[in-house]
Amino acid sequence: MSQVFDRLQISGYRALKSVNLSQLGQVNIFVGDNNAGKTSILEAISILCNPLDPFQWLEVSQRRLYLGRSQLMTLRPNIEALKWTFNQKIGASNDEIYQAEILIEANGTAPISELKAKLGEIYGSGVEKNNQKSFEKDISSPEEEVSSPEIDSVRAGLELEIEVNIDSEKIPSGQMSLFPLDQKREIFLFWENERFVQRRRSKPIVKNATIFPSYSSSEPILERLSQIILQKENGKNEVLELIRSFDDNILDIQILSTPTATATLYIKHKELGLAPLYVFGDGFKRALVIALTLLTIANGVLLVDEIETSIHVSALGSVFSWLIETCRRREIQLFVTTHSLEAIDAMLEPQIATDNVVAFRLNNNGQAPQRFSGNLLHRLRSERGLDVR
Amino acid sequence: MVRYCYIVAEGPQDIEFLICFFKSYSLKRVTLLSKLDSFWEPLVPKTFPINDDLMKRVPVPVFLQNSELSVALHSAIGITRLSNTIEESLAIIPASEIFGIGVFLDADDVETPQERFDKLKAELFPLGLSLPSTLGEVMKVKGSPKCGIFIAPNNNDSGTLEDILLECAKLNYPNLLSLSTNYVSSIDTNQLTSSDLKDLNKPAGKNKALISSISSILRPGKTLQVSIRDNRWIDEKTMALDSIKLIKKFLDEFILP
Repeated sequence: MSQVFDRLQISGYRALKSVNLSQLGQVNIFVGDNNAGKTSILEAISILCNPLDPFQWLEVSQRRLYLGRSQLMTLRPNIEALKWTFNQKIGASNDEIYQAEILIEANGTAPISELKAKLGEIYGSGVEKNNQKSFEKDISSPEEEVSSPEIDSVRAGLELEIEVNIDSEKIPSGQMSLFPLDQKREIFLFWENERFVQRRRSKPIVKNATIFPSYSSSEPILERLSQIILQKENGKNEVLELIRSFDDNILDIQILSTPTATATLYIKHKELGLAPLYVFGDGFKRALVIALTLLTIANGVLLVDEIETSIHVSALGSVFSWLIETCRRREIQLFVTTHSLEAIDAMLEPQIATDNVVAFRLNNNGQAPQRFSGNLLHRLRSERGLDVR
Repeated sequence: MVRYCYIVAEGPQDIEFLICFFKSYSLKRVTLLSKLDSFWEPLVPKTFPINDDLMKRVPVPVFLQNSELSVALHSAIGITRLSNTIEESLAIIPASEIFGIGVFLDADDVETPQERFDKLKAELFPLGLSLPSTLGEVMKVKGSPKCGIFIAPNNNDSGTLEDILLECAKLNYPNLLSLSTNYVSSIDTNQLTSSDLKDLNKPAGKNKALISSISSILRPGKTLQVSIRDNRWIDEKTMALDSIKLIKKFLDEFILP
């Protein structure tokens, strides 16, 4: 069966010089040592899904800076962080003009077949001192105020040139107006210490969402649920249906508030009655976060970094079989990274069709990723007990 | 540079039999994980039980090595698992660094060696190896590992490893062989049930019974593998046998630079 992405060739993204991922499955597991590029692949895919949105580039480039902190959004572009999403030439001289390129080629049902991004340094005249002071007072920490007047007179920035090839035949009929041309080109300028403003925001070419390891504790579940209820007439029922397929004891989800406490999410449970979310186990909370995410990305891509995080080993099997089945029904392609053998085994449990699962082992010695079909992966684990990470 | 050779055989007896040949290459058996060349480490299982089966033997290869040569001998536990075992192993070790890949199996009586060879080649074809065109030949293609398939007893006749062991017994244990032959042929099968005789009545059953009878004298209460390892099945004398010379030639071509 054809997937959103059947093949991806990622070149020049972070440390990924050129990575070819062919015969992708509905479920794609990335394993490998630290720094092998697992998270980079997820980032590259999330950019490919939404390449014309400059905020996507900024958000992805700064994820690693803010991972684990509750506040993911930043107020201004981080020029260095954006630079580091592009492959850096080791040993390049300071005199060389900075220029880097990312190329991602894709096959599949997704309407995008190629993303080419070029990043180059630009310079501009400095901002007026008064403006600079008031800006710093608002958002900058005192240690950052080290610029001398001479340096202030020239600002550093980056020019991001994005070119995408869109296959208009693959665009769903209702969204044709969003991508009228087969080829789209955009240029964005980002300035250090300057808020980035864009009049309009491009829609994603492929619906996508990323779930990070830190989300289990910091994800604003309440806000997300409220948003779904407010935006979709049948939104809450869809959430309930999804979460009931994980635990059929769930009768209802309610947002309740008391005079002494802020609004809290309560779960009406067949055995526990009406109980606050925080008394439920990690497996259930993780499933709820995923359920809220899945509702927004039908026919799209779900990217989960360190899928085993916060799910107890005993709950891995039930969460994964539910997740994979839900993704299959909603035609969502799943890309996950893991360090855990238990997580891999849970994704190979008998109730999950191994035909749907593919694993890639990445290495940091420049060799091509090793692809394991679901069948081979199953044999390596169950017949041989070998470590595929 | 160390030459890494990977040999898959049908069962544990075959492995122990092949190990006897490797003594002549001054290879030593590696019994400690800490002494194992890191190249082979991915082949050491990390999970127990395998496939939830508490009775299943841990499928770890036997490793032999010296400063120039490192050999992993792997029992596939059955002919149907030969190609799968190779595919699985090559997926997790640095396959491009392998010097040679060998397969050792029995001909049996149902299929001819050629039929078995053709079938195995078809199974191995998707792995992209440079497969030999004839049985017993070791294929050498620049840029890919040497590859050879040997079907006991001699790549030509039907039979099993026991046929070779019987020839060896004729030379080194003639008295035990003669007594065992009498013993096996004089059994009153009327006193045994069909279940008792199930294995004896298989095509290679009588030969296996003969060899087991000899090994039960040489190493009472122990498996045939122990006797193959400890006794004089393969020694200087039996090395003169044609079938033994054929295997030695195959291994020489496979292992030597």
